[in-house]
Amino acid sequence: MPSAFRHALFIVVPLLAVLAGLPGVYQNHLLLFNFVVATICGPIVGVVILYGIYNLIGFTTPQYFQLIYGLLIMGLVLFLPAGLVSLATRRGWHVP
Amino acid sequence: MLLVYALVAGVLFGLYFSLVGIGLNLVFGVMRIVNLAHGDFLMLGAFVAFGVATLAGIDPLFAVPLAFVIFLVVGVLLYWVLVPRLRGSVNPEMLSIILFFGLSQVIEAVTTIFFGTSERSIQSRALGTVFSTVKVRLFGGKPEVAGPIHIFGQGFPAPWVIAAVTSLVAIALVYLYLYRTRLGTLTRAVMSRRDEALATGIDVDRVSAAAFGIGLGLAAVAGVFAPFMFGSVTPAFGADATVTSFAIVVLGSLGNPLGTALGGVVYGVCYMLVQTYLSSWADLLPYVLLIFILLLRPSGLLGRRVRVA
Repeated sequence: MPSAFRHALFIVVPLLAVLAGLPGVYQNHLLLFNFVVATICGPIVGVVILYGIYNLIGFTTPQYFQLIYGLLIMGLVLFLPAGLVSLATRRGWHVP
Repeated sequence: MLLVYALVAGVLFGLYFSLVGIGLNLVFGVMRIVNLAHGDFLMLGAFVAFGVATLAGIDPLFAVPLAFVIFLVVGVLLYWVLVPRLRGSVNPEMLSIILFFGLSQVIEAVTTIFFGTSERSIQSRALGTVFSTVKVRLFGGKPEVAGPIHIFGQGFPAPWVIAAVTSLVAIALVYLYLYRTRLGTLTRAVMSRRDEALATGIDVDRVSAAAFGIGLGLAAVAGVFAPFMFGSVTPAFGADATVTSFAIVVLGSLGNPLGTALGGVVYGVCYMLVQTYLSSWADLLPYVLLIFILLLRPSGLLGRRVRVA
């Protein structure tokens, strides 16, 4: 796959995913990334990270994607239950 | 005759299904935490059975105590790692669902990485060879291959009967634990009122850790029989097992481990009737049962009050 096309995918797919809803099991769990702190950026950040990893290794080695996905979920719940965006809001930055 | 077969097989499967669900219910009843990784521990129990059968080459029945002890220890350790952090959060019940979903993903991924995705099964005559060996040792005679066991004139595979009997024993032991031991009495106290138990000076964390360990141990014991009851097991088996055990637990009643015994038998009989008469619909059964029981009796068959959580 040409790298320009790949980078385009990297940006377009998350947007489509937000608009259309992700396939399968991953659909419901994006709320994780903006958990509690309800922002618009939260789901977008989540989709970019999750689909970024998925595009990198999700097709070739799905079990490693699953492992990272699970570890990410557990780490966030245990150490950052308010989500990634809370890192910014905690410092007083305004996040839309 | 088909009906008799379906009913008896349903009761055998039902006893086994009770064992599948009872650990999940114990964990939920004591900790109010939803263990979405329950089915994955069941799957790991099946892999313990594979290990015992292939590496050691002995009767998979020996995997029952082994799996129970291993996952009892794993459960207690996991409890101390995960739960105190969870308790401090804003919404422990909701976060526990997500946390254990993550744990189930990790378990499935690690198992896939180490063992691959192929279907694994154990020869069904391997289970219970210990009985014929003991019989030969004690009474002499020739070792015979265990055939089907006859109940009401119908032949059933021996592993089904062995799994059902083991499940009965396990449920009886859970009953004894809950109603006859000191730790069990404390467990029931925590189950009915967590705050008051804490206020009376019960070490809630110790009781919960024990319940979590026992819950995982029971799941692993159920998993030992999974290759025989369902034919084969893959690492992806865990998710299905979780859904099935949820259906059983809700059918019985959430938070009442002994209700699960009834729920399991009802589920097993329904399962076998559907398998016999409408086999293409069998996969729908847990979901349909869940919807109906939630619509008609949200507290479950034995539930006295609707769960508030």
